[in-house]
Amino acid sequence: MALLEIENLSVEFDRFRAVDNVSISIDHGQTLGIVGESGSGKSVSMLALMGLIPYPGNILADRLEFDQHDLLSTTPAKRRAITGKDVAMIFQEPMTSLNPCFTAGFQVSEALKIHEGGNRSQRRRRTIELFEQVGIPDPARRLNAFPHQLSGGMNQRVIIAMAIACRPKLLIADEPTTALDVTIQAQILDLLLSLQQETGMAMILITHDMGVIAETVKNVSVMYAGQVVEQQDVSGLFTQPAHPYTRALLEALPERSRGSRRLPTISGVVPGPYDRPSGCLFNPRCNLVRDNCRTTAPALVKYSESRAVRCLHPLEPSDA
Amino acid sequence: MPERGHDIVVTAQDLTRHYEVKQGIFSKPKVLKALDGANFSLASGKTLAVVGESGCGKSTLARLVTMIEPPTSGKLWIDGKELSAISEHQRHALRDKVQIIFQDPYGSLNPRKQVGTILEEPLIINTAHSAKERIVLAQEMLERVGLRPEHIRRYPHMFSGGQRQRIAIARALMLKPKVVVADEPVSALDVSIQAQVLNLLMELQEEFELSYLFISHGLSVVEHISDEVMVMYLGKTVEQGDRSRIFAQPRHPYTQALLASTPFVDPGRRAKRVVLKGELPSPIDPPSGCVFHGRCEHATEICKQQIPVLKNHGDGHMTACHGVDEGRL
Repeated sequence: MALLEIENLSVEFDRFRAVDNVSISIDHGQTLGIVGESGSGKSVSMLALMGLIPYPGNILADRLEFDQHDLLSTTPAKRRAITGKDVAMIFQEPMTSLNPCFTAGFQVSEALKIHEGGNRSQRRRRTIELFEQVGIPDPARRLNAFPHQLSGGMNQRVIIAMAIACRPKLLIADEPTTALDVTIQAQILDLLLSLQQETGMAMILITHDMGVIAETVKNVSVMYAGQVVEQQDVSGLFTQPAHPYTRALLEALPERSRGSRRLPTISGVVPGPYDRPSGCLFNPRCNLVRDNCRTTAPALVKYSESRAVRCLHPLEPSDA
Repeated sequence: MPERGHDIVVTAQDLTRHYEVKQGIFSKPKVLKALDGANFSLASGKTLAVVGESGCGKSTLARLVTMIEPPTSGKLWIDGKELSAISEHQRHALRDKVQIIFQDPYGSLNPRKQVGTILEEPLIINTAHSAKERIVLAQEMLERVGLRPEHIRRYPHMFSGGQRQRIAIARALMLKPKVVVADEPVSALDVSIQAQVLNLLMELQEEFELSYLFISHGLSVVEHISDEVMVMYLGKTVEQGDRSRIFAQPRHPYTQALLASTPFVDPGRRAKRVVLKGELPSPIDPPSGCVFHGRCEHATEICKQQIPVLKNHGDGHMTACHGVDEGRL
């Protein structure tokens, strides 16, 4: 029984589908990467899982189950108890996701107070322990530091401490290192991976950086314009991409273009709310487009346990 | 050292910029060494990449080269003229030789102005073109950067991030500059758009013989576009040299760590990650000796006491590291 089971999740804002029939499942202790450009719906699909979609947004799903709780039918209060404790989320901007008016220690122990209880000194001890676990030097003193007194990397560590405070079963990290410098990024990614292995929690890593995906997760979902276009394990994805979009994305990376000055590009931009093409959503930008791509919308076809592609003419391993 | 060849367009000698930071009413202000002695020369048609983490002084360097700020000390030659030796009027005339592209195309274009107005503004200030000529020039430039001439009457919000960056590039090229300072021009863009903008930058470089001072923290982008690389840490140049050498044989421990921290897609390229401990120290109270010693795993006593100087180790590959000088690294 998978830990998280999402089937055909769609999120609509005023008839615009930001997320279109996304199915994701993840087992205990697994790592999954979701990669895509901005506007591909990778963050919105996870926000929908957390119940954080604001008012005009409408969530539709065939199944939305976490740890055998059906999140679609539970009451909001019960849902909060589940998603607050067992599912934790880390956001991109460490500086803006902490409240500037409260100390780092207060904000971490607040999560403990709501979900774990205990008295003040117990919570304080646990907070110090968490700060140590995420590698914050001199944790007892840092309890009283305000977010503006800490660097971006330290703030991200505080947020990670907050996220793992209740020993979640699933950690969703939404671009956790995009705002950080490379050397700090390496520190934070190593920290997330070691925490994941230590605690055995499952982790979903959302990012636009192919390099980060390649180095951290086991399975990858590639999203484009609200749809999952390809699912593969990480080694297969980078050696034998099956969807033309994945291949084009990889080719556009400067590091893959040894020698040649010009980079292969994907022409055009990700379609917005008002210019969705008919048929396959990638067809106007695809260089392998055929006639039926413009009329028939492809379905996500499963080829094996870990491999699925949404394309009418997927690339054979030899073409890639 | 000005004018080594006739085609050197920018030369910097010990370029330094210090800021005074007030510490309260009664204590003496402290000195923040944002940029502490940068030396380079940039030939026409070439790209010098400046690499480093936030706070390393790369944006300060951009402000000095674009003449937004004067250096505290050191000399800067642009197009053969030393800036402190010429009059304010002559300096003003030099400004159209150096233009800048900023990181965030959402913040760098005025949302209340039409694209045409944005592109014509540099011409109005610096040239004597008539209104009709200006429109023609703006339309030509829009076409050159891959947009359509009729876009001239649109506002910035009607464009995507990549298109806006094209507008910012067009604006920088309106005055036919010799040098373009590109301050993280692609780091706010998606991968597929990033490739388009990089290609455009390289095409324009060939067409107009532009020199780029390319500031970036993305090493794979730098490796693709640059001819020469300068790695900076806390205001100081730690390693400088030919692109292929720096990437194939980085000698300074910081450059090595930077390369090892960068996630690469190809498993073969993936180095064992040398995770740097700690963070960038405060530039107001930099550590004694080598500024990197607190985070360096090869640091010895001498690193804590003496400031290493940038030395040439053959073929213009320069490092500022005691370990390299002693042959330990």
